[in-house]
Order: sequence, then structure tokens, then C-alpha cells
Amino acid sequence: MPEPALLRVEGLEAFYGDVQVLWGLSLSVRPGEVVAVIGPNGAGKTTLLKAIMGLVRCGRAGGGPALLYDGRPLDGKRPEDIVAGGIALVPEGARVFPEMTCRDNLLLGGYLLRDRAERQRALEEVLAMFPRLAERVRQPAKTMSGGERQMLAMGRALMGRPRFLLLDEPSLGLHPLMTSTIFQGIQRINQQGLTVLLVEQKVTFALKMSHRGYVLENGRIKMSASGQELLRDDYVKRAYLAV
Amino acid sequence: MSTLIIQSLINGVLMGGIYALYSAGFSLIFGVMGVVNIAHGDLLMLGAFLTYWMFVGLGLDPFLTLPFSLLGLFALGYLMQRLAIKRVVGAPPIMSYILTFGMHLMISNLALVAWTADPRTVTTAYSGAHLAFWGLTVPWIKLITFLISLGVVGALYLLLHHSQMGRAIQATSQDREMARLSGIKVDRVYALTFGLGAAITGLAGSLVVSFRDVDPGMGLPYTIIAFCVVVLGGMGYMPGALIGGLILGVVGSVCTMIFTPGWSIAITFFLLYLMLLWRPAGIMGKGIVE
Repeated sequence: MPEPALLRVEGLEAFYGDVQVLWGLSLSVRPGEVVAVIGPNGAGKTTLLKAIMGLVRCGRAGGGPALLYDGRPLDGKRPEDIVAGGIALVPEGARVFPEMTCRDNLLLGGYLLRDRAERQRALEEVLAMFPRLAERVRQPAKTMSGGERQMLAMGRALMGRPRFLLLDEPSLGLHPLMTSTIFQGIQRINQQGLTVLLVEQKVTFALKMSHRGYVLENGRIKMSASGQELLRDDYVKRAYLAV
Repeated sequence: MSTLIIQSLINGVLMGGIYALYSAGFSLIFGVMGVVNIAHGDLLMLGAFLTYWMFVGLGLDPFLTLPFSLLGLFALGYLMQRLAIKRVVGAPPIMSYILTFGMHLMISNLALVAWTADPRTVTTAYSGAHLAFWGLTVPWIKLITFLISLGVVGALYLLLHHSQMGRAIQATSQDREMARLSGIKVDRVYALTFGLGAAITGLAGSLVVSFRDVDPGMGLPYTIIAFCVVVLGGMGYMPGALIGGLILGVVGSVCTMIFTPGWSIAITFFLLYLMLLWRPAGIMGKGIVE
């Protein structure tokens, strides 16, 4: 019997104003998995993550909840409550708080932790995971490099001790070496038990490290399979790997 | 002559401390919410009246009323944000001007109906006491007021930069959506910020009672000075309120000595004009420019 999904998306429709972006999208993520969503620009990948976080208006074709997290609906919940439920988003472009130091960014990520001692413990864990950040703790985030900011955004998300991590194009604008550092980080995070939903343009990288993948085009799921199968698939090769 | 100059510099610095105090509240509210609070001076007026009535009614020393105006104005500011200001956060600035200008009219006119336009004064046993040395005089009240102001502005700075609540306020002002994604209830942060800004402004009101008269119309000039101070120091940048406050205090006092008090206002505005032309982000260049 398959393990119940940590996140189940059923017939999700999402809108920006009057413009519909997602058209009845369904997918699922099981506990402990890394699931990748690939697709061209404008396919709705970011919108999917925003819908899960409660940042865009969404619903289900035909009514009922479109988003089930741990069996409970997320629809209509506010972002701050969804975060409190153990989901964290690392947004596109990292979006660290520019005027705050690296350390303050991290401590803020632990905003929902119970007390100062627990925040301090979480801070030490995150700094151990990203030693680069430990060298930058006193530096304002806006003076850090793109890769460091990405690490900081991931560290900030981990500070809240989530169960489920959403990553929006973590490799965007990074050079190859930094990209593989970031992906190694994601893999380590997953090995520690976190479930990951990853949206990525660097298709080979993403599919190699994912248990399963979905191809999202024009707001609909075009196909889904294991990461390895998708890498071998003729359509994926032609459309995304330029082989 | 040199004694006269030193004396006016001292007066200016002492005045600058209280400028810094009520401007810090104005700057905080603008920095976090983008709201220019035209009713700012009226919050100061309410703090002043609170102290006046506690002094007259209960015989409480003006300095002992400080915790009451701090708490009272915090509660009022919190409610103002929750009931009204909330609706204009993130809206075009003109919306917040109209709303807070309306609040200014309502508060100052209600005060006028309740308390009449008569100026009132608080005189204590130590009102005239001063330090005298080298031909200079430093009134005790002004010195204590200055030190309290510095302490409160410093405490506000520490709160913003070294507490989890301060980090939440900063995060909300820098990226509201990301703040929510860190689990922060931004509506509560806004209400808290407005309450905090109102509280220190009310405190400033309670302090000025000791050396000037109190009347319902006293608020608006304070709003204007607060605006000048934060333009000088940089909008939303806390140490800027201190720098701007001290500069305006000294400029005002020196102008009053050399020319007349009327000139000091003209020169203050001229300074404001130059700042907006050349350094719109304030002297340190760290303020917010929209």
C-alpha cells in the first residue's frame, strides 16, 4: 500500500486577478521525497508554489479543497498559518531581508520557535550546514553574493524547522559551481528527513536528484514519472535538454 | 558674546533632544508603514493634556505621569491602526495624508470643545531651578528632559535591532510578503509599530508640559517640525531622527539669538528645501526616498 501523501493537489485552479494561470492541476508529494516540477517560463510553476503558501487566489474545479496537506485542507488559509503548519518557501531570487544582517535574517526565520534557546540551537545547526554563512553572520544581507543569499534564504527557511520545503528556482543566476553546492545542500536537507518540492529550470540537475518529476506546461501537468525516466524520455529530451 | 553663543548652542542641543524624541515616532511609523501621520502632533498634545490633568486633578508630579502617557498613547495608537490606518497601508500616499489629516482635525477640534483654547501651564516647585556656571544657565527640567529623550531614542534603537520583535518590525518594513512567509502576523506588527510611535510621542508631550503651555492647537507645529527633522536625518532611519533633531534644535536656537524667532522658522524651512533638493535621503543618505 502506498504511503499517504504529505501534499496532495487535486484539480487546482489559480488566478492573478481575472487571469487564470493553473487549470486543474493535480500532483502529490509523499513524505521524504524530492519532487521536481519542470516546465518553461510562464507555465505556472511559481504560481503553484504561491498557491500552496496561500499567496494567490485559488480553488478547485468543481468545488472542494484543492490542497490537502497531511490530510487537512490548506485552501483559504493565511500564509502565516500555513508556515506555522510546517511548510516553508524559499522564493525565487532568495528575497533575503536586504538591510538586516545574515544573522538577523536567520533569527527571523526562527520567528515561530518557542524561545531564544531554541532559536540559538536552530541557528547553530543551520550555520553548521552552511559554513559559508558562518563567515558572514555580521554582514548585511544586501552585501552578500547571489549564491550566499540563496544559502541564506534556505537557512532562513530551515530555521523554522519545517517538515516540507518548497524551493523556487534555487539555481537562478548562479554559476555552475555554486549551483552544485546548492543542490548538494538540498540533497543533505532531504537526507535529514525533509520533504522537498523543487521548481527548477536546470532540468538535468533537478531530475537527477529527484525521486519523481512533473512536467508543467500552460498551467497543466503534461506528464509525470520518476526523475530517471523523465531524463530518458524523448519528449523531455527534445523540449528541455536540447538533445 | 561668546557666552551668549555657547548658551544658545546649549539651548539648541537641549531642544534637539525632544525634537529627536517625537520625530523618532514619526520616522518609525513612516519607515515601517509608509504612512505620513499628519495627526502626529495631536498625539503629542494628548500626552501633554494627560500630564496636565493628572497634575491638576491628582497632584501628580509631571515626571511621574510619564508611564501613564506611554501606556495610554500606546493603546490609542494601537487602536487607531487597527480601526483606521490599517486600511491605507500600502495604498497611494495621498490616502494616508487624507485619513491622518482628518484625524488631526477631529482630535484637535474635539480637544478644543472639551478643554477650550485657553493655554494652561504646569508649575512645580522646581520649575525655575537651574545649574549655573561660567555665566551659563542650564534649567534642570530641560536637562532631565534631554537625557530622558536620548535614553528613549536609544532604547528604541536597541529594541529595533536586538530583539525578535524589532527584527519582525524591520522584516515587515523591508518585505511584507516575506515577513508573512516567516510566520509574522503583519497586521499585528503594524498595530504594534503605530502604538510604539504614538507612545514615545505621547511621552514627548508629557515632557514639554514642564517648560511650555498646553493648548489643543499645539499639535500641528510639532508635526511640521517632525517632518523637517526626518527629512534632515533620513525618513525611517532612527539615528537620523537624533541627528536631524540636534541640527534643527541648534539652528533654531542660534537663529533666534542672532535674528528673531520668526527667522528661525524661515531658515528651518530653507534648510528643508535644500535637503529635498540635494540629499532627499537625509544627511547620512540612509533614509527612504519614494
